[in-house]
Amino acid sequence: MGQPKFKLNLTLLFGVAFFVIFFSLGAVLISHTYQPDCVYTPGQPAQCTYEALNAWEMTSEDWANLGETRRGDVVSYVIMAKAWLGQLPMDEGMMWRFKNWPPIIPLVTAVAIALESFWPLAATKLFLTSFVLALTWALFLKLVTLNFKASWKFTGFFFIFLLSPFLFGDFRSQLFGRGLFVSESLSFSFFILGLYCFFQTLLSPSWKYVFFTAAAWAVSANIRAQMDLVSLLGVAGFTFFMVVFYFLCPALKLSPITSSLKLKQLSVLLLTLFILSSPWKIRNWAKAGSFSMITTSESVYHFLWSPSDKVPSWLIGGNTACVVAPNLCSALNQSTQYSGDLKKHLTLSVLISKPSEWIKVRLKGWKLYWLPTILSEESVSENKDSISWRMSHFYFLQWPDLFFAFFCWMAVLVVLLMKGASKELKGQLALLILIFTGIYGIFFLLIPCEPRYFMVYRWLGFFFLMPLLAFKRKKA
Amino acid sequence: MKKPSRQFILIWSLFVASIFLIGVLSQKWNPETTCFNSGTPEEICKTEQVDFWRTSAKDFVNYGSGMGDVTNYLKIAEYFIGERKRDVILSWATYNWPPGFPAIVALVLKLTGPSYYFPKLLFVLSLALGFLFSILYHSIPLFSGRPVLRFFTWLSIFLLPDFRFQTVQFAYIASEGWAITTFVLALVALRSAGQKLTVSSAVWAGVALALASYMRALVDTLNSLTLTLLVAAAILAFLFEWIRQRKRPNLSTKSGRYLQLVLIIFAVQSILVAPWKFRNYKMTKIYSLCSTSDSVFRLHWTPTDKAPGWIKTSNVACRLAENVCAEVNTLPEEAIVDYRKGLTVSVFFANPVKWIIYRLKTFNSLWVGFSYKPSSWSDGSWWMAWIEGLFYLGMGIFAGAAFLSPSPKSIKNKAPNILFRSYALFFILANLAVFLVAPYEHRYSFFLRILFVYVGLVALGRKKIWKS
Repeated sequence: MGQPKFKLNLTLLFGVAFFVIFFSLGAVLISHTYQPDCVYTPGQPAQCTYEALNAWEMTSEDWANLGETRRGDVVSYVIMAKAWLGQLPMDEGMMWRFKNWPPIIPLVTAVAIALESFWPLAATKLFLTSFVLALTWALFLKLVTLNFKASWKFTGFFFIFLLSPFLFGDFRSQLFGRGLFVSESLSFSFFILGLYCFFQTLLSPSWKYVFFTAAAWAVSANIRAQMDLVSLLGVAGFTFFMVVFYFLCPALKLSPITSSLKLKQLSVLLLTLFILSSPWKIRNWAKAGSFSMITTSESVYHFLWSPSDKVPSWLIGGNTACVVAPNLCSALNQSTQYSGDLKKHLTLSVLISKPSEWIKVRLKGWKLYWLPTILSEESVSENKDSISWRMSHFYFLQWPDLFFAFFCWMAVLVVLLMKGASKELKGQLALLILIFTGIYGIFFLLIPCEPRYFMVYRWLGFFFLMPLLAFKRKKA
Repeated sequence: MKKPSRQFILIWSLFVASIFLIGVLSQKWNPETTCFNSGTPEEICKTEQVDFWRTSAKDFVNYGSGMGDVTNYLKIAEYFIGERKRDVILSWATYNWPPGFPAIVALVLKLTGPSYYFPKLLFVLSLALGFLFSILYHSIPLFSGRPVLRFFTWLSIFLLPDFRFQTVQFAYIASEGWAITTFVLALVALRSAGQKLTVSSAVWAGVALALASYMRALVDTLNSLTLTLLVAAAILAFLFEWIRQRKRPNLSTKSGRYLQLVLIIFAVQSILVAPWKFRNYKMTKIYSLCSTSDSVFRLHWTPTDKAPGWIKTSNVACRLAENVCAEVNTLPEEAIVDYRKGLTVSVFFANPVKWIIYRLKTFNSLWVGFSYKPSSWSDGSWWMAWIEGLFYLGMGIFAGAAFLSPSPKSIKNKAPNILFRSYALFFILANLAVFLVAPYEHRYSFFLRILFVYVGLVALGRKKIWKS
């Protein structure tokens, strides 16, 4: 009886420690990245990144008036929240926003606005992000060390290892910098929490992790529509291949990589995830005729068929279709009357007709796939006349992020190839990696992307080390 | 190769004489001379109304709009024997139709000259059809011990009006008769290869398939799809067995042998059709016996009021995505020409169920060529067409049941001819794929109907009840 309590108390203790560290780190970063000469003029193009603003002092009114068009993520979340609170009318622009973004960030922002008189808007988001991250990090610590009553030395080492991603600029920026004002911080946090629960689903026969995974990923999906696709496609693909291997392995006289219990759990997970992520989709279906988290996908095709001078440089492969089929692009841009439907079908048509050219164009932007949100040096030099980007000395160069992420991926691959670990677990993790790679590969190939869209994939290597380490500890 | 027996030659001669007679009697004796040289591009009369005995090659060159099969086969044949120079339209014709039938027409033209050659062409076809039927007569033990009954059972196939039309009636001026003959010979060769499991039999099967491909591009399309699936299945089966047995790859196993034979058939067929395909590739950058397959996708995007009547369901994509279709037709041709195929695929994947349901609703035009309800219930041709269509369908169901449920004895004692069975299965799938995508005339389903009849007769021939 003493052991579970011991583990629980230690987990709580480390959780609190993580929370204090993350909250403090976030608070320091918000203050430290503030640049007094960064001033946003309402209705004018942005002159600096969001991190450069004085987030502690900005009110919801300030946030709602940022930017030239007031159609960006950050501004829109605040405006949507105000609409829910009855402070702004539900006009056409508002309806467009509600079609374009899932509900949780506006909801969180609405709570933050309601608490604005007590403490700053940014603090609510920081609190929530820190809480979820702390919970997740503590659970990973429990998974690898606390469950096995590891020595304090090892626990301490692993504690520091878990904190190591925060040494890197992009990771910090996505969670406590720019990401705090858009949806990355919370969506990433809940997705990784769900990933922990999914690992537990694979490692343990307990059914509770099935429902926790579905819940965490459903929340993440309701924060970022991309996470909806990643989690649903990931679970569906994984379940499908598990079923195939379940029947194929005995036929080929290979050792099994799953059991019937796992198949049942995965099926329930898929169903539960689908149900939990459906309410907002049902709402969109009723209002806009489309059963999806966002219903403004025509903007994707709009960018794909825009001439190169009209597409932002940070949008990877933004106008691939136009580059691959210039004659067709020119014809489409002669008139504004061509429908999104036509552009959608033409996009697929170009991809089918000229796949190698499409892939070549996409691969030209591969660097942006891996490099962080802050623009690469080439982009900075291209845009230096119109936008001045300042890199705080507190941010290291982007390359360490890249190297660390690659190092984690290599470590995962080495462990997967090593003998001695459970074949079943290795097989499942390898399959999961392949599925996520496939999903993100499809995103990269098809959709105009920003580098921040691939943050989860870049850092997956780090998190995939956890169940492998846990298994090794279990064996030891 | 064994010398054909006297019995074989006798049966062959009887079939040739009977088929020639049937062909001659099938022709109408009331010539419609106004069909030709009318100065108008439209076809004034149907081909079955024409008296081929009294029609010259020159008249057929002027038949109809000048863009149809009939006229162009003749023009290509004239080009082959040096009596016509190649122009733009003739170039288009040479990569729109494969050279098999025009080559035969050219041979006949060279022997007989340009006038009134059609009866001679029928005679040449009768030789080939007679050869085919005598092989079938000897290889399938239907009513064995009752030669007269057996002979007339085979000949009674010509009672089926569409079969007769496609072989000896229409065959005067079109390639169907030759395509059907060579296709059935290919089926016989494939079945033989599956029974003998020798390299030479696989080579002959490949040669026969290539010959059939040269007669009609549709056969080549179906063969390409079928053989690709066959090769993929053979490789998978080989890998499956290899992984299962954990031994080094061994081609002497069952799956190894199967893979060898399939690869030989595929290689032989591909090599033999390669010269003309390569020639077409040099001209059009499309590696195919029919390099105008783009027209399939052009038809898909033709508005319904402009879709040609002789292809009933050609513009499925346009019907399912009407708004997109209207917009596509406002785009400049040079911008959209390369992307119609991809657009069609995109619309299919956006509406797969609707697409399939739409196609299935037009099953009658695929299989029978007549509507579900006749204009008058006393219309004999409607009844005959449906009886014949149902006969083919019945043979297919019977063949499927017979081949899918072999007795345990037959599996134990004899190899169940996996090669032929798998070819038949994949050929059906290939037809389904083409039916889903391509604009269809009902004569395009003939090869599938023939497969059903052949397999059905093979199954019937195996039944002990029919043996004396």
